[in-house]
Order: sequence, then structure tokens, then C-alpha cells
Amino acid sequence: MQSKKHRLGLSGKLVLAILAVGAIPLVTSLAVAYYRGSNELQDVIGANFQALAEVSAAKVDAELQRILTVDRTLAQQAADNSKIRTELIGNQPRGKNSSVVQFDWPTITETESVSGALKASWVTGPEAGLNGAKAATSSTEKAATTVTGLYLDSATQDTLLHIAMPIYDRKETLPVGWLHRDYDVKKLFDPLIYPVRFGSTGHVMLINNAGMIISCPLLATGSRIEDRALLALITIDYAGWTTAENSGHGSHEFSIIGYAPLAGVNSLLPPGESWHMFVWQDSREIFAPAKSLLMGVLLAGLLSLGLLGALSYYASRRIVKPVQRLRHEASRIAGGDLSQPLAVHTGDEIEELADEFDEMRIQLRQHIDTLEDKVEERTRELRDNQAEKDRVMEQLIQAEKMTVIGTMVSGIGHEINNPLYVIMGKAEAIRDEKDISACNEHARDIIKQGKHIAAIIKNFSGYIRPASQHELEQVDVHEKLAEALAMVKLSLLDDRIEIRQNFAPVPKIAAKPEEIQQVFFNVIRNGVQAMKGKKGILEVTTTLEDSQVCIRIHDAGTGIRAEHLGKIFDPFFTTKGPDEGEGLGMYIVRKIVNKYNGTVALASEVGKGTTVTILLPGVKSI
Amino acid sequence: MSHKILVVDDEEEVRKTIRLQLKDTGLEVVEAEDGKKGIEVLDAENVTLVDAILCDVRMPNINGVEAIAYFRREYPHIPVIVLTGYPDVKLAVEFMKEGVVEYLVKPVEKEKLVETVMKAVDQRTFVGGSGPKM
Repeated sequence: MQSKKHRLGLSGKLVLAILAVGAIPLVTSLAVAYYRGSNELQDVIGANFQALAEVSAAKVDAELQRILTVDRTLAQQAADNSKIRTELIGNQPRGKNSSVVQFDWPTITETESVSGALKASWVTGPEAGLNGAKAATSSTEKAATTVTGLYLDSATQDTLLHIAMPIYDRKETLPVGWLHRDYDVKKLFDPLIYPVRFGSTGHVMLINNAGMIISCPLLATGSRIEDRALLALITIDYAGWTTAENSGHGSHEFSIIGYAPLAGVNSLLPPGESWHMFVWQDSREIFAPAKSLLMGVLLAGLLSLGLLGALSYYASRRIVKPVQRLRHEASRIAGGDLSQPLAVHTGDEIEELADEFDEMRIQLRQHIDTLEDKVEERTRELRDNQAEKDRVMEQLIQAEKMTVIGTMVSGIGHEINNPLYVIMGKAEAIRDEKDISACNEHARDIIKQGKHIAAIIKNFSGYIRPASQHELEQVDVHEKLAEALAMVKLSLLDDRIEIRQNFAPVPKIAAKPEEIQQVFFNVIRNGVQAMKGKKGILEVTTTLEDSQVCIRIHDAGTGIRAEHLGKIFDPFFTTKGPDEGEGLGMYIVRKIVNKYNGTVALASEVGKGTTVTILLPGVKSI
Repeated sequence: MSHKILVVDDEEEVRKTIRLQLKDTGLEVVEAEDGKKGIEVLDAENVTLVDAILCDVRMPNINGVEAIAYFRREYPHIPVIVLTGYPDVKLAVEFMKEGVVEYLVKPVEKEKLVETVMKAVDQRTFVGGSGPKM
């Protein structure tokens, strides 16, 4: 039996199934953990970033308040200083242009702590700051501390924050002058911003609503955030956190950003400008622990899967091995080996299955044994039947010969009586003859006639002898035709039928000669009988047709009626009289011809005659 | 003048044997090899010269049955003896009805043949009413 090719064996299927059972929850839990983990992490980190932004904003606010307090103190000192006051009043402007008075400030302890140039000037408003910086308000009635905003010092390339503080005379409600100070924002805020670092990339950044960096440990002060969309998200007047695909630091990656407005500062800034705190950390760093955790889980999962695979392979081998063994045993049985019992001892259902199989094997063997007996018996019966059939056939052939012999005997008598008469006459002559020399001639005639009789008897006995039992011989068809014709001459006393022979060279055929002689005799006899003693020609022709010997016997007899044609080869069918045959002639002809792989065909026309065509395979070329 | 007998038989050896057996009778033997020839011979001969006919049955061309029928019809005064190798009772009876004087079956002994032939020849004389002139 040919085993089919399996793409995946039983073992492979089991291992796959078990691995699938292990892998599906692993992948599912990893996916859920990743999704939920990153979302919840975002919430926590976002809230933290927001808080940090708020705290940092409050710190910068507080610092600015401290500076303003210092400046207020300085302005008070200037108002209290008579020299400065005189100078200020004495330099009251006469037009719209304000004049600037430069002072060397007395030592003020507080100024030391802040950087930036301190200048005092008499101006109508806070707008005329140093280097042309303009205040946002021009009100002189309610002069208040003004933060005029950021500008770039073209000389130093520093970004400066300009603050204008009104100087009040104690008696006056209007300021007599303004105290102007420019702070280098880096020096002012960097100490507050820079230390707020977490991790390796987490930091806070101070920007204004135009996107300008005021202070950042990573980006240069004065550089800009160009992403307007990002700016719109974070430069709003309340604190919060958001996610964006822009870090604000030049890369377009997923980012969590905390933000908070600087409420104190913004209240002092000119309308339209606001400052904001920005908290950011590289997302890779944020999610690194989560990723690491997930990787850990994944690795552990894969390791578990590997273990699971190995275990399931082992387990499946334990299951599949006996099954394979069972299959092997089953194919052994299928191959016909039923002698050995199935040897599968696993102590489980497989063994039970094997036991069932073995039971089937035993039953199968019993059936086969019985079957073999039956086949043997039947074969014997058939053989016996065939032998019986052969025996009956031989008897039939012989019986048919005997009926023919009856009609032949008188013909033979005639044939033999003629020479016998000659012999008798010659013998009488010898008896009465006195001359010895004349006796010799008579004796020669007697011998000649004796030989003639012997030939007749030989021919006849060849016909009546049962077919020989030994091997087939190479039979000369023409010789057998001549013998059959001679026999017909013996048995049928008719001199009006002319026999014509047209013999072509043909090969011999392998057959028993007696049987072939009988075939020809039967056919020729039928032809002669069909001619019923009328004058006519009986024609015997031989030809070679495709290595077959063709013998055609045509009589000019009465022909066969159409309704009888189909019965000609049936046993005991005859239209002849009781003395002319038993109806076995053509039946035997066909039996014998078929036995030698030949065919016999019959064509007949009523009133014109019948043609019998016999084809027999020739043994070799002539 | 000797008596004359016509022998009709297709086999030369048979005709020679008949001649041999009748040698001592002094009969003159005229041979014919078949029925047709026999009729020709008889028609050609002076019928009065043939005293008896010895005829076979199985012969080519015109066989014995036809020839004898002819002889009996045309020359009823000539006795006919059948000499055949075919012993058939029915045929023998038929020939007897035709007026054949004897139905002999081959092989026939010399004495029997001579006796039958001589008897027939005598019968011819008797039947014909004019015996051979001595």
C-alpha cells in the first residue's frame, strides 16, 4: 500500500494546537497591556507634566515679583534721594521728547542680586525705555510698573527684558521719573529653568505666545517654535497637557507636553503677549520602562511558548508514536501478513484500539482461510467441470463420426470390393494357369490391388480414430482437404458432382490433424448433400489472408433458408433426412475451429448455394 | 459365330479381370469405360451381335442406373447383368423390377460369373427367339 504524503503529521498538528493555545493569550495580553499601559501612562505623565509646568510657572512668577520689589525699592530710594530728585525735576522735558538722566546709583544691596543695567530717566511715560524699547501703556495718570517686553540688544545679541518703574515724589501723585532696567533673560531665568531636569531629556522651557524661546536648557534663547498648531495648543490661559506629533524641539515624534501660563507675568505684559511654561520629555525615554516591561513580558512569554512547544512535542510523540506503530501494524496486515498479532502495549486507548484491530485481524484470517478453501474447492470443481466438458465434447465428436461411418461403410465397400474383385479374379487365373510366367503378372496385379485396399483403409481409419491426446502438430491444410475429399467420395455415391480445387500456397496450422480432417469432411459432406445428387461444381479454395489460412468451400446446392442460418451451428439442428446425420456436423466444426483461435462464417442464398469460410491462424510463413 | 458381351465399367483393372474370368467361355468381350460410352457402343454395334450386357453402377458421366434404364428401354431383348461393389438391397430390387437378370456383387467368383453370363446369353437367345447360328 502507498502511504499518502501528509503536509503536517499528527504530531505537528498537536504541537501547533498547543502552541496556539499558549500564544493566543500571550499575544492578547501583550496587546492589551501595551494599549492600556501606554494610555494610562500618558494620563499619569501628562498630569505630572502639567503640575511641573504650573510649579515652574509659579516659580518664574515669584522671581519676577521679587525683581519688581527690588526695583520698587530702588525707585523709592531714588525718590528719597534729593540729589536724584533735583536732577530729575530739573530735567523735566519741554517737548514730547523725554530726556534720560544717567545716574551712578548709590550702592544698593539688592541690585547686586540682579543683573541688568539700571537707569533712571525722566520721561512722560514708561514707553521711552533704553534702546528704544516701548512700553505697552502710555497712561501717565495711573502710572504703574510696566514690563514692556522682550527685545534684542543689538550690541550684545542678548535678549533683554525691559521693566519701567515709576519714581514718585512723596508729595506728588504723578511720577517725577521712571526707573528703567533691562534684564538679560538668560541670566534672570536660566537659574530657575535649567535645574528643573528629570531623566536625561525631561525639562521645562519658557516661551512666549509668539513661539520665542525665553529660556530652555536645550534650545538657544531667541530661537522659535515654528509649529503654529502646536503653539495654539499650549499657549492658552490655563494649565493642561496634550499629546502631539511634534516635540517642539525640531523633531516630529509623538510627544506628551505639559503647559501652564505665567499668570503673574502675563498680567504685566502688554496686551497680546503672554508667557508660558512648556514641559517636555523624549517619548522614547517616557515609554522606555513600559517598553522594557513589555519586552520582558514578551521574552518570558516566548520562553514559555518554547517550553510549551518542547513539552507538547514530547507529549505528542508519546501519543503519536503508538498511533504510528498501530498504522505500521495495520499496513502490515493490509499487506497480507495476518500471521503475527499486533504488538502495541501503551496501556491506554491506543492499546485498546490495537486489541480491536487484532480481533479484526483474527477474524479476517479466519475468513481468508475459509475463502481460500472455497476458492480451492471451486477451482477443483471448475477443473473437473472442464475435464467433464472436454470428455463430453470428445465423446460427441466421436459419436458424430460414428453416425457418419454408417453412411460411409457402403461406399467403402464399393471402393474395396473393386480391387478385391480384381485380386480374386487374378488369383483364380493363377489357380487355373499352367504357364508360370503368366502367373507372375497376375501376382503383380494382386499386390498392386492389395496396396490400393490398404490405402483406402488407412484413409478411413484415420478418420474414425479418436483425436490423439498428444501435442498439436503442424498440419498441412491441403493434405487434410484431399483426405476429406477422398472420404466424401467414399461415403457419398455421387459421380455427377465435379470437385474443383484452387489451392494457393498457405502456411501450416497448429492443430490435431484428425480434428482438421473432420472439420473439412463435415463441411464438404454438407455441401455434397446439399447438391442432392444434381450435377454441379463443389469448389474448394485456399488463400492466405493476413497470415491467416482461409479455406472457402462453396457448393451449388439448395442453399440455407434465412430462418435456419442462425441455427446452423446449434447442436442437433438438421434439415437432413434421418440417415444423413444427427445435426452435430457444423456444431463440431465451430467448436474445433474456435479451439484453434479460428473463425467459421457462413453465407448462403436459397437456390444458389452456400459458402463456408474457415479462417485459421498459420504457424509460419511459407 | 461366337457370342458377344458388352462390359461397362469405369475401372480398367475390373474390365481386364472380367475378360480374364470369361476367357474360357469363348465369348467375345466388348469394353466401355462408362455409361455414355456403353450406350454409344451398343447404338453403333449391330444389336443382334451383343448377346448380354455386364454393367457397373457407379461411374462417371452416365452412371449404371441411367445406362441400364436406357438399355432396358431401347434393347429389352438383351439381358443385363449388374456387377457392382455396392451391395444395396433397395437398388437391387429396383434393378430387378427393371428386368435385370442378375445383381452380382464384387468380388464375384469366376464360376458364378461364367454361369450367370452363360445363362443370360442363353436367355438372350431364348428371348430373342433366334438362337445363334451354329
